[in-house]
Amino acid sequence: MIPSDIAFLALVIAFVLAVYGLATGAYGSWLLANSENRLYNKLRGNLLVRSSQHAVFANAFLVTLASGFLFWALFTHDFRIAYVAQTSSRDMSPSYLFTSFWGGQAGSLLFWAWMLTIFSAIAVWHARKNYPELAPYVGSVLLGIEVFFLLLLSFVSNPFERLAVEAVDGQGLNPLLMDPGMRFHPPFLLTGYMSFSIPFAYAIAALLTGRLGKEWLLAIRRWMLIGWLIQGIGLLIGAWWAYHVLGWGGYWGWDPVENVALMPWLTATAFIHSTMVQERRGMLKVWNLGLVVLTFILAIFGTFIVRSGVISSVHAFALSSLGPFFFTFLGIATIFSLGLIFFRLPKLKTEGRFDSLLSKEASFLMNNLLILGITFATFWGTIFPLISEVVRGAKVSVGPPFFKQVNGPLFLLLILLIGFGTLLAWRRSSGHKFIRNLALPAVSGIIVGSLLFLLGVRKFPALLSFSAIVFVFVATCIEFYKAAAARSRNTSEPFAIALVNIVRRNRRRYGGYIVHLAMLLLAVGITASSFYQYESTRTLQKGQSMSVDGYTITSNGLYVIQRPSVQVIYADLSLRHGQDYLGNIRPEKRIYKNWEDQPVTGIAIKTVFPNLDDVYVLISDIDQNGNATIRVFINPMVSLIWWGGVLFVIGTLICAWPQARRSVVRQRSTATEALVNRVGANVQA
Amino acid sequence: MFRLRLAKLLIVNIITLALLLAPTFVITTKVYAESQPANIDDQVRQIAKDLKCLVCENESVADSPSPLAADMRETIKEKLLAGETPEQIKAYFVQQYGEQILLTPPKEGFGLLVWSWPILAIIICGIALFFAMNKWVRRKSISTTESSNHLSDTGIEDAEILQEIKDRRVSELW
Repeated sequence: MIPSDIAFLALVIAFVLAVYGLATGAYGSWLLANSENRLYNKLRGNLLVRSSQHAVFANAFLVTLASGFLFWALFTHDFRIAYVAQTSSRDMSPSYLFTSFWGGQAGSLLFWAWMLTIFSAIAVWHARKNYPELAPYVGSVLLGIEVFFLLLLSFVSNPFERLAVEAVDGQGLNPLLMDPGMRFHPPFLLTGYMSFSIPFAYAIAALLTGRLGKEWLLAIRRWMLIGWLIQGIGLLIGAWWAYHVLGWGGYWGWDPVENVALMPWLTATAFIHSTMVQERRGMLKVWNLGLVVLTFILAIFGTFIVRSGVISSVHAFALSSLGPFFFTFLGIATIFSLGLIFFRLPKLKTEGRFDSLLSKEASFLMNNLLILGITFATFWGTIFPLISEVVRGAKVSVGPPFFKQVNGPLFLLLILLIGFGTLLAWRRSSGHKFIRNLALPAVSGIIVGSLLFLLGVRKFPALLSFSAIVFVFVATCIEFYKAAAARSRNTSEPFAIALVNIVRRNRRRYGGYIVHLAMLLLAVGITASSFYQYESTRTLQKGQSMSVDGYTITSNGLYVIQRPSVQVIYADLSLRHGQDYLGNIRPEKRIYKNWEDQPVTGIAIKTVFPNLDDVYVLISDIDQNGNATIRVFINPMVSLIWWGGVLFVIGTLICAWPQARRSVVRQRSTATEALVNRVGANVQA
Repeated sequence: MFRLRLAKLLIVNIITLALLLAPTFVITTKVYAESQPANIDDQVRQIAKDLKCLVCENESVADSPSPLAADMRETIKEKLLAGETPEQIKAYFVQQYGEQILLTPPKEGFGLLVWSWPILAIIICGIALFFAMNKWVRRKSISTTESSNHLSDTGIEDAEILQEIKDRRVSELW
């Protein structure tokens, strides 16, 4: 008996408890629902539900224990365990040792399950206090998901499997993964995938109980937002990691693994918007339930793809031991939820009050159409090679050019729509007022577009994109300005304080606008770097220089540093823009012990102000004479993508931050305040 | 009457949107295809970007550091200097390595499926959505004659404000 056996035992017990909890939870909920007011049934139901909830809490403890053991095994180099030997080695520094936890398949699944048990415990605890009628069902559904993952961990992909003979040293982590991005990207993405389980559990709970009013929507709104935030951060860190490590000059390659991670985030985005229509108008109930289910299914699909690589070929799927399990689970989840929705259709009748096609509601529907269109195109392009292989037996590739050409225009329309949606009122906009509101933003967009044209931006899609961005930016700023100006007039607060206060008083609305601004920053960075990237590759001897897009790079020679576990070869290069000296940059090649055949490229990136170009330099090759082939990309405005990411996090946090519960009096006063603000804004308009 | 005019306005809007959508697709496609770079290296890169590096994970021949990709770039350069067109060069590689060498399937035959479905799906769903919305609006206009639309007498703005106050109360709860 070694510690890892205890951990494995903990996982098996957790599995058994999950099965037990699922059974008691389901039976208990059924008893409660069909108690016919008989005290005995109620008591029994309550006891069973309690017991099932205790299973949820116990599992959070057990899986945390197992995860703790895996960390312990990694840090103590316990190479009796196969997983530890595969993903870590003695000479890895402790700061990377913990990343080995999610460096392989079994560990990633364990991390997923660990987060699920913790989130489930929080969700059940929260639901018990706030939504007692839904809580038993939420707990049972979450336990159902736990059953699946714990089944995999206990019997299919066990992270604590022992080696027949203890290894002397481990293989270590692939050096590509030895990067700060690796500390955060996988855990965020795995947690993001996982977090969509909770809205799903609530949706199923609402369907099972038939309590399909506003209650469940309120309950899941914030859970969905949290999942959306975590997944979004995971995607952004992934892009950042790819940009800083992979060395092809870009941040998003429309790789299958990236695509499957993007899809649930997109459908969650659609949900976050369309849920507002249901909240205000009681419409789109079936649609919103469908989106929650779809998001969950795509998240499970993504988890599976990320850790198996099946997309590359049908054969990989056949070889993967996880495949059949995942597809069975996906099938059950899909059929079960669709069946439930169908069964509840009579209760899901829309309270249908749709006033006009020229309204915010209509723009949200357009938003959903475009986002789901993008999701579908992404999905279709990702699985098309598989379809081709099955149908025709011929392999085809569907790569970045496809996604850029299909999704690019759709994203552009989506950005335009942000502007229109912002300007449209709920219920109904009068045509005249709408056109009047449209004037300033539209004119600004056109003016900036023409200016850019005169300045030499001649690629039409880029021009269109920049104009659209300016249009939306101005429209959003006007929203902030109008509200803040009205408040400042009515409360005689200084403008800046009024601006802070309107955001504080209506966090969801203005937090949402801040997220929109973040998306604009992203859009600027993506447009500029997609259309105006320059590249050059040359072999430089000491003293020689190369130039690209106005930048000159001169080689001062190659140098070598020898460290215990890694040999670093770097090129010392000086960078000039025109005549200005901008500093020295040092791209590297790192050759790690055990991974001599896979030298890692250390990319040097210098962001040049004020034109915001990233000078992105790497050593692509070193020849026999010791001369380095230097590859340079000029990537305009990529840094805006990262700043956009920061703003995205801030905006989402503003939306999701709990509003302090206020007394009724206080509520009334904020309502009056809103009235004052709106009237003020309208008077000004 | 007024609502009818709005509906017309929206139809016009949707048509404009569709008209906007179509050229953007065409233009982006053309920009990819047409922008003829000046020097030979850029031309090579342009072609290599559409070819998949078969020994790498999801990288194009233009971006890959692998020796095979370097050889292929050299081949492209030779063929360009010999006066072959990009299409001929791509056809040569397809003949050599099969269709999977192309990073996007051709827009014909079976490959057309990958291009057409997403666009068709959006157009069909868009039309369906439009009719659905139209129906909802019409249903509303029947039901409002009986009740609940006293708000609209006071003008849209006030209704909007009252709704906002109501919503605010709800949003306070979460």
